[in-house]
Amino acid sequence: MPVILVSSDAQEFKVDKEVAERSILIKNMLEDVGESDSPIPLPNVTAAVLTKVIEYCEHHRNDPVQVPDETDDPRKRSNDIEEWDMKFMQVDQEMLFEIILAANYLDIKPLLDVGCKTVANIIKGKTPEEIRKAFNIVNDFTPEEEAQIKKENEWAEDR
Amino acid sequence: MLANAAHTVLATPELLLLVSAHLAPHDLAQCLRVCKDWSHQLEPILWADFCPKENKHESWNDASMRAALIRNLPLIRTAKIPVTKVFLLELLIHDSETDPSARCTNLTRLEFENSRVEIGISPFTHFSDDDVDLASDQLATLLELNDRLTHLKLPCEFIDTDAPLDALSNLDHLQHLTVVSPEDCEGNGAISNFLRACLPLPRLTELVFDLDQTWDKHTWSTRKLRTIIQKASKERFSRNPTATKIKSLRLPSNCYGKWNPLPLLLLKSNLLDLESCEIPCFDEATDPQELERVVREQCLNLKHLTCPSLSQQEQDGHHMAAFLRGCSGIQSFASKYFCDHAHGFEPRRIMSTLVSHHYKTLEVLELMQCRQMNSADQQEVLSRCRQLKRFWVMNSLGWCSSIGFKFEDIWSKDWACMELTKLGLTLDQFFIINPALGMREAEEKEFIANVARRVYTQIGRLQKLEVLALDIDTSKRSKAKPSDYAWDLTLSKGWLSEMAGLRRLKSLSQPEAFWSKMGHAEVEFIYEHWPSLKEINLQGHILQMSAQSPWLWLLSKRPQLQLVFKHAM
Repeated sequence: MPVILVSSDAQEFKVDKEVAERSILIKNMLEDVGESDSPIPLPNVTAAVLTKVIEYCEHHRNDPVQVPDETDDPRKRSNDIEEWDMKFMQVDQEMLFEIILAANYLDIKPLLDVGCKTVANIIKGKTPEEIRKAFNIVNDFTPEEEAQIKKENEWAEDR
Repeated sequence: MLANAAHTVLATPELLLLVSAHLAPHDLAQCLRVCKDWSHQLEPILWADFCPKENKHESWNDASMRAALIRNLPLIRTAKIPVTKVFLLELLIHDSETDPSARCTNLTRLEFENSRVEIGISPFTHFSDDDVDLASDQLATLLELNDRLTHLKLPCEFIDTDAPLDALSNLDHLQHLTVVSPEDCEGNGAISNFLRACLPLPRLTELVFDLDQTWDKHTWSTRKLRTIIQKASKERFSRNPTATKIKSLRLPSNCYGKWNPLPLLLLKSNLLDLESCEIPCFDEATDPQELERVVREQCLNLKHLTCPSLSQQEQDGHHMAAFLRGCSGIQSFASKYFCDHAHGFEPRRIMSTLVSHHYKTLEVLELMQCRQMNSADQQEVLSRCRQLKRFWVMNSLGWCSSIGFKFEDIWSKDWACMELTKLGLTLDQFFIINPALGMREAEEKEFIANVARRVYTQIGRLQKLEVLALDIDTSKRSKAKPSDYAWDLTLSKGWLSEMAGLRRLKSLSQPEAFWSKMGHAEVEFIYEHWPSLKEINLQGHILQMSAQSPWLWLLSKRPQLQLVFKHAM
């Protein structure tokens, strides 16, 4: 049975229940409401972003549910983004962060994960100044403060 | 102020932490200098994993570095200390005296890293005995402070003295324990004392002696060892009724023939429930039949084996074969420098035993830098093991290896391993035709061509294959002439088209002899038939990159494609 999702800008999206339930938020909502065909409002997600999110959920509709593994070290598997996901994430930066926010709000763990990996890949290999530039972050350190931090963490500086 | 999504995400602590989880210390250190908010949020993440590098010479005499370490001591959960920087122990056990919560007490993982082990030099060579004693005492203090450790990796110099062993014997949460040594340890007192300390630990599931050299100075006392093991069995379960058993084990080896009762005593004890282990080294007095029986009764869950170093394999084939016969369903077998010697009447003991007893369950056979592996045995593995997923028999060093897989063996029987995802083959460069067939030259050529087609058809049938590495064994065989069909993966003459079905292929690695013959037609074939290809390994070969190069064309079509120049192992 299809589910109707309504974006913040009042566009309606008809998706299969199985696809919508990739979002734990929606899954829980549907469980609470029971059988009902009333539309689900998603006031935090615009139509443009919701289109992308649904595209992701469609592609991954048959994925097994992720079991969190505590012994799994995320640092060791940061590069392994699936090819389809990698292409999916080739969007402008604003959209990338919108997707992350939507994935966080809708509680779609694997999408949130892929989004964060993509951001991490942007950061990798950059200097602090390049990172600030990439994300438009204001430097609120004095040069002395920044030098002090560099000194304190010298063991981790350089590869 | 935070108008756009980027700022919302990066200013939300929980999301920033998710991003940072994918960053290495170097990148985290850069992030700390981006702005005050990031610095504040990410400092604990950076220090949770304290891993100064061995080859970096930061100046730990600097006051602000020392202060930062001392300030962050309670945040450290994993500490990986290069042995050359053991002086950091003094800072790690720093006691601020006024505030007990400011100490380093939250470690779950402590590892002493030592890259020089590989070249056999002890980092302690330049240390005086007093230095080692001091470091041992400091380590003991650190272990006392961190009784929730689950992972510990020590150089064997640290188990020579009592203080660290006393502290070790109280680590009730310890699960993984590794002892590393670059060279022989002195005497056997140390190892007996060490076993006395660690065997009773109720949570210990992995015990590894990463000692590549043999411990030939050892003379074991059976009585003493038996007492230690008996006491440990009792104590382990009295300390914790739900104690686990040791599931993964690698014992120190010693020179073959030396009296070494440890492996058999441990196998007979109730301390083990092995799932993976390195085949231990038994002394020559061990009766193979008894060994087989003990393994059959005690190692019901053993699935993953590694094979010890070369010298051991050569000398101890009897016991290894007995061990393999005792096991009841090996899934993986791995070895570096594997060498299956032909011993007089019993040729190729290890591999033939492995296949005949475990062909139904074997999924992984990985022999890196393999020295010797019989061609017919390779064919046995591939044509009998239906569950096989990875097969790797390669040697990138090229010295004295004899691992060629003969064409006449490959085509003798269809492979059964349709689940294979990773295949590393070393083809024999020779082809021998029985002179009794009396073939003329043209017939010979056609015959060889047909056999080669069968060989590449076998490979082409492996539809799940993702990684393919081919190499040529260049060792000589008598009465044989080299056949260049072995390395002709072209369309006009060779057999590339037989492999059109490898649609999942991600990585292809071949030596120059293959690559140099490939031209436009072959590259277009690769583009058309292997849509998943991500990596091309040139094994040291450099492609001619003129503007017309077909490879440049391929790279323009597939920007994700990586060219790798290093050897596959």
